[in-house]
Amino acid sequence: MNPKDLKYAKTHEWVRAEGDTLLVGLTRFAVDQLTDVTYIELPKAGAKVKAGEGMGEIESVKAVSDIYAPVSGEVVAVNGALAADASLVSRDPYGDGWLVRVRPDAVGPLDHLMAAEDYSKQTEGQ
Amino acid sequence: MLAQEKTLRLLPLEVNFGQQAMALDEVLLEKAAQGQASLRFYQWASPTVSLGYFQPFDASFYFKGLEVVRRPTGGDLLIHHHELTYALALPEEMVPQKVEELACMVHRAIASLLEKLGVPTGCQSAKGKLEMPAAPEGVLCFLHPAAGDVLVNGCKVVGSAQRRRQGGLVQHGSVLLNSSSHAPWLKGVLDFYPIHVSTAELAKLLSAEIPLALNLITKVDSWTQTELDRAAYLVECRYGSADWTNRR
Repeated sequence: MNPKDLKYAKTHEWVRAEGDTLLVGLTRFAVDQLTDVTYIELPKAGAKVKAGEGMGEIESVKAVSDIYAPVSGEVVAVNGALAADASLVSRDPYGDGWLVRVRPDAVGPLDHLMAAEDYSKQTEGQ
Repeated sequence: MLAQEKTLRLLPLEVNFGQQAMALDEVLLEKAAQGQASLRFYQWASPTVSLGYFQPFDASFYFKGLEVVRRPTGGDLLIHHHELTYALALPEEMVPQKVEELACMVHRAIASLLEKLGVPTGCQSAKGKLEMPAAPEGVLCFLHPAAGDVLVNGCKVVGSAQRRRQGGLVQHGSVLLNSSSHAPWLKGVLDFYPIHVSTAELAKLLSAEIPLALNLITKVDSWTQTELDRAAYLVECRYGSADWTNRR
């Protein structure tokens, strides 16, 4: 079940508004498809990311996949726990397995992202 | 089998240097993201070490004197010498969601052909490790079979890796034909079963077997000048660059 308080990108990232920043992670659907995650590379704090463009990479079972920024802004924090244990992203994708915290360039309702039920429809049958 | 019958562009067998091979495979990935499915086979112009995308550069130190490239794909180090390599690029809508599924489909097709040629094959059931005390520890891809990898006489002889982007993926993999003096711990298909088939014939047979397994119709094609120019650019700015190869 995808948490209803989050917004979702079609590229399988989630976004949670927390004050003036946005927490970003990978969805349960995405990590279930990836299976055993072995490496993850994320932008450094201070990096600028652009919505829809690659911001990191993740490796699982010999497949490297791009991770896309769901919003434009500045990365203000990176989940350092993932450097020691990348599998955290699989075990708790909506909690301790979060990826980065972004201060968005523009404050707004994130209309370009999907609600939980729309994202669930996208992933149904896949 | 993939649900819908679609066209797969089939490129000619060629011999590439490592940097060129990786660049051409990435061009196929870019084309896949634009909706074009492709399959190609190649051999290596010289014995080459390829590192997995996330693998540390110092893993190549065991194999000094060989050309070293960093792949866009995951996994461990390979010594490319006496092998046939394939690259399959598919648009997103033609890709099974489970990463392992496509690798297994291709591996089953390769195993099926080997069986027809008289080579008994096995399939790795789960992630494993082949003990080879003289080999560098934890470095070589072919000593770490993943589920679905093809085995002959208990040795991994076919393995694959993928790069996924929005819009498509490229999967490339090696069919190890003979042992290399640079990695004598690894044995190839022909070391166990000296079947009389040339590499070109094997590529031709697999050019039929793999598309059949994926329910794809092939269309024989060749590289466009634009693609070759793009590959040359990728060699210059990425695969031929120390910044890329030594990055980890």
